[in-house]
Amino acid sequence: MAIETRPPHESDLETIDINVNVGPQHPATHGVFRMVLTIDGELVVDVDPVIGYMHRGNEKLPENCDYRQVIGYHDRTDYLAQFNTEHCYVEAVERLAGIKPPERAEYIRVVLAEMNRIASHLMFFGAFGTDIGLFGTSFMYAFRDRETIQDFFEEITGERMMYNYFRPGGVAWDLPDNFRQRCSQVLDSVERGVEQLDGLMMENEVVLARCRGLSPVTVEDGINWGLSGPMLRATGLKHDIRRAEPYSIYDRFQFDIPTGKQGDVYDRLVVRLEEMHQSAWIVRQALETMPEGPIMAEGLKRVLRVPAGEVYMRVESPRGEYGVYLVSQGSDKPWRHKVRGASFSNLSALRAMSVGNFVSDVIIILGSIDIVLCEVDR
Amino acid sequence: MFLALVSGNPWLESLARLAIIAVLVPVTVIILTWVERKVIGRLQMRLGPMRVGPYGTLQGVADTIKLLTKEDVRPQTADRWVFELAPFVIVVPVFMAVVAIPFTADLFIQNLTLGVFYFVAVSGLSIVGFVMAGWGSDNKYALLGGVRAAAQLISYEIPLVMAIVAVAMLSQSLNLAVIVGAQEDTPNIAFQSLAFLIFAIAGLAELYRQPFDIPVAESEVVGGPFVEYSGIRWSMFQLGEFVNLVLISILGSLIFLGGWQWPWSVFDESVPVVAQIAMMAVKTAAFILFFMWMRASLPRLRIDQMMSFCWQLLLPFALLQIIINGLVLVYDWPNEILIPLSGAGAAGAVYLTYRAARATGVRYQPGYQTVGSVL
Amino acid sequence: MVHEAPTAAPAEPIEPGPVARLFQSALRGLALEIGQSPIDEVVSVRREDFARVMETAKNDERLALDYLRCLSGVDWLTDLETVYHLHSFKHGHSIAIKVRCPVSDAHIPSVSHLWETANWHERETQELFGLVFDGHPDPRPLLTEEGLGYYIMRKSHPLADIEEWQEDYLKTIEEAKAQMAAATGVAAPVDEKALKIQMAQQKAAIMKKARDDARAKGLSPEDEKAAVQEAIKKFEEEHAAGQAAAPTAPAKSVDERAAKIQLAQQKAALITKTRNEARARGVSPEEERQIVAEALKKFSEEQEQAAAAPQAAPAQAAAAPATPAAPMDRAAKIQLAQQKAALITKTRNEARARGVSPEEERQIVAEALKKFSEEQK
Repeated sequence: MAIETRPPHESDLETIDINVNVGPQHPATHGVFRMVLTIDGELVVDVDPVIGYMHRGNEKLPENCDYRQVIGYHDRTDYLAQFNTEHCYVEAVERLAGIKPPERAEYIRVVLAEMNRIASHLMFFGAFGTDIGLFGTSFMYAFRDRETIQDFFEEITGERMMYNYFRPGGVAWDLPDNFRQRCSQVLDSVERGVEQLDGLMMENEVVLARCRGLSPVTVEDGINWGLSGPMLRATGLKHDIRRAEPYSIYDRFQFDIPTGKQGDVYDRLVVRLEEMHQSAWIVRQALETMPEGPIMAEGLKRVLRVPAGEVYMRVESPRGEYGVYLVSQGSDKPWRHKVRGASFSNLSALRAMSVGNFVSDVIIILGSIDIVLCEVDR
Repeated sequence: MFLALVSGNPWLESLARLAIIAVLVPVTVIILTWVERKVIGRLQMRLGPMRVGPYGTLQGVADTIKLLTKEDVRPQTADRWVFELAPFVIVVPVFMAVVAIPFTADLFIQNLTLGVFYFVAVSGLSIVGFVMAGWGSDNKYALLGGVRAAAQLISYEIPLVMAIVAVAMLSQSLNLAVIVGAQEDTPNIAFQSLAFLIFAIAGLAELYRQPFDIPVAESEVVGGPFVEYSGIRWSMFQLGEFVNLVLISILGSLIFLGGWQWPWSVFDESVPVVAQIAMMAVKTAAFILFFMWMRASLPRLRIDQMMSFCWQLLLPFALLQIIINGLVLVYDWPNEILIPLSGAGAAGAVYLTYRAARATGVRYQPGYQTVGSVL
Repeated sequence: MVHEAPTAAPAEPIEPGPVARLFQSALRGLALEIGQSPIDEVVSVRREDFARVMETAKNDERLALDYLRCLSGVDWLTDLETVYHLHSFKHGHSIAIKVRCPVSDAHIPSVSHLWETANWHERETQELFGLVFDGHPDPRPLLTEEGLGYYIMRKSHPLADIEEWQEDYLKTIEEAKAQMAAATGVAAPVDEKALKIQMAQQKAAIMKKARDDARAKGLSPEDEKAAVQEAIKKFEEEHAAGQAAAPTAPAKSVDERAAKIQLAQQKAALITKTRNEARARGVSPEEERQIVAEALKKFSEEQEQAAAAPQAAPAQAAAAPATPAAPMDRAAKIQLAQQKAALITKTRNEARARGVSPEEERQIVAEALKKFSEEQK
């Protein structure tokens, strides 16, 4: 009586991959985003990102709006970098209409946009810490400083989130008197907070073990996948629109472009952390040289008619290249108003970056893209 | 005093002891939830609960009332009995483990000769509850969490038990009271620092606390096995978790920190009961606060890192500690030689972890290739 | 058909910039139209050449446009256009490439084999504009899994009342139209919205034509504007003349909503009145409720009779030329209600002018109404 016994081999067992829906209501999807993970145990075999839950027609609505009414929609496109997006839009209108904003307005814009970059990166670090499993500590650290910046913005614009402050030709009203002193005060406290965040996150052994070498992206792939901003700089490409195609008055300031080495998740953290310091440096330079004077270009009509033409204006938003493609027919409304969201293109590389990793890694890869769903879906 | 009244009748006495547990343990848990929220709040520059009662002290009570009055929801497709029994399978062993814990030299429910053995055996049962909850919920997150919990608990049980075995070798007993009694002069942490390190880390993993909260990871599996539970069943999981926290802390303070013994012979002869309880409370609180501190400051490991950390680092070093202890026992070397040996082992383990975490380089990518367009 | 040059007047030929010149030398023999936007140079290519142009743009050493910044669709009413904004990290230059296709044949070769990032951009444009990108590896809709069925970014998709364009509503409209046609034998009324859109499109086309003509003639911007305005005015006059000649669209003459509101108001007044009377008599609440219900029922019956009345007398409807064909129940009812309302207003105003007391005023109005009803019968 011979019974052949052998341990079951993998080919004897019928195994199936299962689909897991992560989102649209999930703590780690940063909004209403869904990805359908096909998992084999803990390994992710396929990722299908599903977007569109936040589509509000942000490109269609401006076609029925006056040029100045559109500014508000840009606040709502990337609601973490409102000044950067507003900057892009008003600059696009100015380039098309040939309006030259006064010096002081340009300085105000740069100061606010750079402060906003710091606030946005702080938000990234807070949310990323939660993704990677910190029990809210990084979130609280980051939000303390972000709150400081938001209070500061509120003093200037009267709004905490949707500032609606830049105008084609300048800014809506002048800064408060104690601006310079308040701004450097805010910067000091924020930079101290950034140091603390640095100590909490960057040298943490668990963060190092999880983020180093995770989903490395080469420069060629990064370019081909349409990555931009910190995602692209993490691959090692020294590219920053503020430097490569200077808009506004960015050619007057000194700053470094931080880059990573292998484009992994850790490099993305490093680049964003360093960018906060660089932005603070730019703000300090701008505060020193900010002139007095008018804040609005003269001779602008109540109804802004932009001559027929087209322009694709791009700025370096905290998430990457934020672009506005504006086509005018000479009326007071844009004929076509396309928004190129930085996180739209960055998110499209999610599948390429995360297939073959573990479930928990896909979560932090998604977190490291720093998506804003309003900008992805528009 | 209360026990003295009923001490004549063994039945009455055991019933009274059980009643004390049944009341005391949930109260401790209610207090601990408040403490945890407060401690983590302060660590995160927040105030924590402040509204209910002075400094939010009644927050735990309010939470309990809320949880008890919430609807007990069961998914339609859930496996009914598996789903509904899982919380009990988790809570009952935890309460059973309390039986074997001595709180002072004379205050305990039952002094078991194989107390450590009983404790480890009983608390290992709760794995079944996690797997049941994960399987019975008919939810993929819960399933993933349940499987993760099983893997983690089984893995970390081994170094945990080995660390305890190392201490038991030294004390030549499995009776907790005897182990504490043997630490009259020097607590075991001095002789067994490597075992203590392993115990603390494996204890974190047993409790699903950061960095080992992989089975219940909020940002990945949304609470894991608990995802479909609500109301009283969810609070049973919570109860089990916190009682486990207390138990591991008490066990740690008993076998490593010398339990109710006061250091430097503060009391000449016998230590009064109140002082014993106070000492126990201090040592236990130290452990509990350590676990909470870890929770607020460490991110989560990945599951393969967690596993390889256990099998490649903790297990070999636990074996090393046992071998060292065996040598000392066999050749009758003085116990003091353990201090440098075990300390060196602990330093080695820390160094290896440090180095592994900082090893750079591109990670091995499994062989899944996307077909067609990569995006 | 090439989009008008943005800043410079089209009369003078545009000097190709350095990147555009590189294009010209790399693609000899192709018809490239070169323009200049405030930032980038713009190259318009024909659809036949498009695939070759993009291939060259990516792979030619001198161009090396390795980064696709943005892909936008533009609706030019008759044509659909796609604009590709490219950037070269190697040389640091940027350019925009445009390609057009007619709406009836909205196909453009996909470029996602050259730039992976075009994948999502093309899927989005395909969903929003109805442009088909041939050769796309994964042409599912991006924003909605099942697709919308209509293209919301096209100019023909109206911005307002979008919810009324949802599919279920369209279905009910179609059903209602069919019913009406069957009941009356009259063709269904023309869809107002479609008319409006058509009108807007015609207008836009005329404006464009006028402007193009003006530019071709080399007029100054002021003259150009005047010419355009004149063209529009002419078009509107023509349109108005056409409308006057054609029978008035029937659906237009009645305002359903106003009628409904009026009816509801009448009902509410009736309820209040009946209830007050009942209360004055001191009946129990149950009885009161019953009385009100009866009154309402009676009122509805009266309404139906009144609506049926014009149906019985087609001559009545013929008296009012602006009204639609008689059998439309509701329209007639509404018309009646409107006439009544006008009468009420008129009588009341007259009474007030005479300075009578409110009670008298109400009485006068009631009498006038009664008289009107009798006349109607």
